[in-house]
Amino acid sequence: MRVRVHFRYNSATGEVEMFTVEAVDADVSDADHDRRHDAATTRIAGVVDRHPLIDEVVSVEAAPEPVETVFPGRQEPPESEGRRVEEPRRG
Amino acid sequence: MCNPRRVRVRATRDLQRTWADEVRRQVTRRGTVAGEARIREPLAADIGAPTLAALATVLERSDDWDWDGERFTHPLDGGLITLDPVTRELEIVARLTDEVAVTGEARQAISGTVEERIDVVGEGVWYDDGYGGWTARTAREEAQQDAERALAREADALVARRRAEAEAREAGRLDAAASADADRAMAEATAARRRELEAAAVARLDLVGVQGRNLFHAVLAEAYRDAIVAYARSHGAGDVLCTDHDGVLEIQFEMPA
Repeated sequence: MRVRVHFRYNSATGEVEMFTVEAVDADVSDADHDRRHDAATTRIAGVVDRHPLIDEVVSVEAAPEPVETVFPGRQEPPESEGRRVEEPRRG
Repeated sequence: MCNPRRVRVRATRDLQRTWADEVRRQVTRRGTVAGEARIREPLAADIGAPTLAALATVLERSDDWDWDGERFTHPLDGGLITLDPVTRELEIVARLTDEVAVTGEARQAISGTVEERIDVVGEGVWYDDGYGGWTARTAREEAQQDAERALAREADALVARRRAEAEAREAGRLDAAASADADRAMAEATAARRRELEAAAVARLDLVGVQGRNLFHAVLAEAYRDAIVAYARSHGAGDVLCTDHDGVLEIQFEMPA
């Protein structure tokens, strides 16, 4: 599995506006896919946050495949399906 | 005119004079008073360990933050911000100072009676030929007047000496009393001014806090960048895209998971 990480921090507000960990070449048939995605997300989010809250973004049309992980989730979820990590964050 | 001749008159007076005075001593104390209000925020509860480690490195290489061996410090307008890398605590302090000066005073009434015999000599000059009207008679009168003036001067000087001696005997105690009075006044003035400054510092803390957080957010952005980029590269990420526009830091990369 490969993941695509997108992090955005606004130093004017001290907010982590986005932290997404998206599975880009996931084998959705893999029964272990969700667990691996969650584990990877937790590890990466742990770099910036001691206790990250993970939120899964799931598309209505394509549920339940996890496609994206977002942290902290102040942004609107991407149009694609996935999972999101959300936590109010200040610097 | 020939050489002058002199007449000397010896005068004696049994002086008995009572005197009274007041001795005052003043001591001034000056000092600087500070009033502070502070906010402490534990960083370790929220920020990930890799970012905290990177934060210390960012502060170390910054020319704007001072390291005093224990904490990183940055001055603010009306305060300062500090970060303790051991306790991982951020502290923002609003600090106001003012100068305080007070005067302490001590007074003591002193009095005494001088009872002493004074001996003086008065002198007069005359000429055999009565030059200038200076005759033996005028010389005796002049000598008598001179002796009277000398008695008066000596009496005043004697009273002044006794007064100075009495003042000197009280000086140590008066200085100590004036110092104690000044210390008490200084403690009261300092405490009162400190309370005022602390109240003003509390009112100013929001403004100082904004300055402090803006500074901290800037170094935290660097710490996020360093920590995330280091993590990405150590976990096989390829190209790491990192941009910073107008204080908005964006990082994007792909990595195996």
